[in-house]
Amino acid sequence: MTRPNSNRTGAALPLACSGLALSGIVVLVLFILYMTFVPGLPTEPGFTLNHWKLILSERLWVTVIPNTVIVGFGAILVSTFFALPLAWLLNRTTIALRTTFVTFIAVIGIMPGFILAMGWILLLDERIGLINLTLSGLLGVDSIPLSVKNSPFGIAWVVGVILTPAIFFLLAGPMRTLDPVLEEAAAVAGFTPRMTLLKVSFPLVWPGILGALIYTSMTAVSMFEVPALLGAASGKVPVLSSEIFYAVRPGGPLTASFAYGAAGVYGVLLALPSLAALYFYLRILARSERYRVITGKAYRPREFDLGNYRWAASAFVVVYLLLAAVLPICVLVWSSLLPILQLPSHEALGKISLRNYHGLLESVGGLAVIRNTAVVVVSVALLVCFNSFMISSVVVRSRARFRKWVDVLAMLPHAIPGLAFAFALAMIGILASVYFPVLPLSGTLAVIVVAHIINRLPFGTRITNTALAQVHPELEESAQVCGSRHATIMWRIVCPLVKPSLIYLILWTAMLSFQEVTMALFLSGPHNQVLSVAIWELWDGGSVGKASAAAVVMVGVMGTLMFVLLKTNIRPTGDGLGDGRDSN
Amino acid sequence: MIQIKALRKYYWSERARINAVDGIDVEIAAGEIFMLLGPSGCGKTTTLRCVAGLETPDEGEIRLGEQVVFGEHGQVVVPVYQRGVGMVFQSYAIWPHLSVFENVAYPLLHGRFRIAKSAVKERVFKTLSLVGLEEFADRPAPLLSGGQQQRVALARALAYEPKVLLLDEPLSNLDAKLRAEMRIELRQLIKRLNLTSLYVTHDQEEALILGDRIAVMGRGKILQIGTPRQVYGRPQSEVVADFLGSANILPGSIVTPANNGNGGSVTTTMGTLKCALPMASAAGQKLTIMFRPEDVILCAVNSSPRENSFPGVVAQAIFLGGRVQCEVIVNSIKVCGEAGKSETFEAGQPVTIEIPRHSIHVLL
Repeated sequence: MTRPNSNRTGAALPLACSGLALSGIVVLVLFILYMTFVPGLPTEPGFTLNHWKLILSERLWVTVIPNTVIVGFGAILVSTFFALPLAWLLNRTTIALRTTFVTFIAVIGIMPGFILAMGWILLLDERIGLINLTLSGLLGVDSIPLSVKNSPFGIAWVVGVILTPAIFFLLAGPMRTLDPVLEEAAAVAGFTPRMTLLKVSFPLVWPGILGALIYTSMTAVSMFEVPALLGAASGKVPVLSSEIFYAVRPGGPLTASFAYGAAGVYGVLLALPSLAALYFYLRILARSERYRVITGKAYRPREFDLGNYRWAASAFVVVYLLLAAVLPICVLVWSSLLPILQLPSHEALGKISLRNYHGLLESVGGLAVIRNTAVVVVSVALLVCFNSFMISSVVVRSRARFRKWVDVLAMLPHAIPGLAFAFALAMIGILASVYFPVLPLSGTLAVIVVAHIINRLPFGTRITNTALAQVHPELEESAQVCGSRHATIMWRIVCPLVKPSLIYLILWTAMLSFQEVTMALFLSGPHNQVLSVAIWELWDGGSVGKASAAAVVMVGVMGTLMFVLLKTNIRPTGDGLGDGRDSN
Repeated sequence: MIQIKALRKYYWSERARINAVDGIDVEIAAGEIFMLLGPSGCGKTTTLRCVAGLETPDEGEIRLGEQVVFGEHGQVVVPVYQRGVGMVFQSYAIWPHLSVFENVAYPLLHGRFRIAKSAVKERVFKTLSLVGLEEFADRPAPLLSGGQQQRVALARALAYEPKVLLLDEPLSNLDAKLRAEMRIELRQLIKRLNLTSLYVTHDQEEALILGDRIAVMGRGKILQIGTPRQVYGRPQSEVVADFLGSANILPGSIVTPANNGNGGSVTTTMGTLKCALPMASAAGQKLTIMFRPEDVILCAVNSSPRENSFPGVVAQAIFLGGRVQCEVIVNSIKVCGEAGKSETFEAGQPVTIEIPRHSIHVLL
């Protein structure tokens, strides 16, 4: 008999905190919808359906939506091409250097997407790409017409390579929990290893695979920074996310005017398929109970003996690592050492200097930017941790009837692109600056912090839900009986018990907040620039060398943090989540 | 000391209301060890949790000493942390991030039962010595054996010297031998400290050994309250008889009513039995009789016929170490009996069973 725990005493703080956070989410979602009916700025009166007429526009159906679909499906194809073999090789076979490879994939998972995209531009661009230059030199032609830029397929390739770690970690679970007894039974029944793989193992893990694909496709289509760098910003390859951005932040050549309502419509268009995908994802999760591949007994997954193919398999992993990180980052390092990007040569080696690193602080905007970044990263990490903990203590610990809905609401920002939330926040900021000048929103760090918090709550609450569910309710009840109040119990008993999960959550959130560029850029003003935005603007302004240098510094910081995290072995209690980038 | 009146607690399942506790009345005297015994889901733990304050009842009244901790139709609800009871949980609920000392010191440092900081150490060691754990004070809690964890849980519940101790199946996670030892030890300790205890268990042996009085529960109601001897020897219903030990239960009807203390006779499918009957009984009246397996006397065939003896055939004989448990078919009825360990009965062997008149009990 399961007994709902807790009772009427205490727990006002968790309710208040989760109420505040979740009503914020609801207000923002409603505000996005409201904006689609407002003619101009939210401060202006009127009501219009004109924005919704955009849905019928030719540009949307001939360019934007096909591009978005190509990017979404293409990215999934690319990342599945890498992630599926990787997940199998690194979880179920006798591949060499397994732990090292997994560590590297985890580090790639945390690398800022826009920086990798910058690396890819330097590698594969018709005009400046080092690969193009090398090949054209070898073949003796003027240029190689192959580029990641200005093509939806190029965007799909880069997004796919970047999202591979996310799918990899989502697949690792089902791969690892596949009970070898089921495979052994097939072997006994006379199946060859290959038949077993196709007829037994694959059918058993496919719900997990499908779930991972749907989940990641949501991330792919709502990603802004990579498409923007690779052609959306120039208006050549517009996708839905870039339409939102440039409707409100003109700067692109196509939209010279503000179109706030339009941004809302695009946001809705982007959120609808994501909501549908989330719904299917949850259904697959529920249905996969039927496919439960864990039998509960202790076992070790049987490892497929690769035999002589071991090194071929390792080579495949190495190729992925090269493409995903080593090449883009190496080219960034190379470019950061040169005044103008050129192929490695005797002459180029002579020009190598650290000039781009001198005065780097000045070029990214001085100490103010560093301070802004620190403020955002630290406060987002701590507040996400605090709020997730509070929401989880309502979801996991209270017996309120609405607790299921609290959980659904906390998941909602996962289905709605961060850009849409940033848009709503920007509009509310404009409203506030007119009607509540005391409320510092427009162009402040606070508005970026709020956007990041909302965006990270789904991930945060997954971690804290699992952590809290593993603290036996009697551990809290015994403290109550011993005469402690709710707050004391939270502080003295529960927090120390879930500390590893909280630290894990704080560090991950800090890293993801550090590398986030889309929302910070969208909400940026003259006084709230953070490092990622500064790098973006250096690149945008054509200072490739300086941007590369700053990017190298950022990657260095992220990589170091990530290795520390992995080496100190901080794990959340009860794993089962990917790397968190996948909650866009 | 503990008074529970007309206590009710409901849960809502998917479809219907479940009466987890369905009108319970109990009065527990100071210094008494009171057992709530019943199968899982009978409402015993919910009752205990209502007393502790971890559940809020829907109706009824609970008093601890003179204080009403729940009552006035839910107007008075004293929160858990103010009730001042000691409680030992089934899972022990030892805080794994604290040492033994810190676990026991927790109630003395934080919350309502705080004492002067300087006195904490002495009190903790005094409490640990009660359960024989002084030497383990610095041990991190997870590095203790099950029995030691159980003692820490007890020490923590006793540290702030509560008047009332609540125990929720405290011994159910221990292995059989340790459990047997702990029963005696626990009873001695509680008696020595003169604590009023409410003790929940599903283990009938534990209830019989530890309790001053036992309340047998089923489906949210109390079926019978009494001393261990009363409840075991004179169960009032089949459920109680069956739950406390094993029992042979036979339906029958009265042939000869009671007659001036000479007893009467009852006919059952097994045969006609002589036994004590209530004075107000009449011939033909239907009733149920019960007798315990250990009261059945088994002998090899051909012993001289005596009162209440019947011929039968052994269906199964199971050697249990200290005794032999036999199932005997008598007139196509299965009767359970017990024999000494030196007896050698085998399946198919003809035997005579005898049920002494005084061991037959009429269920109402």
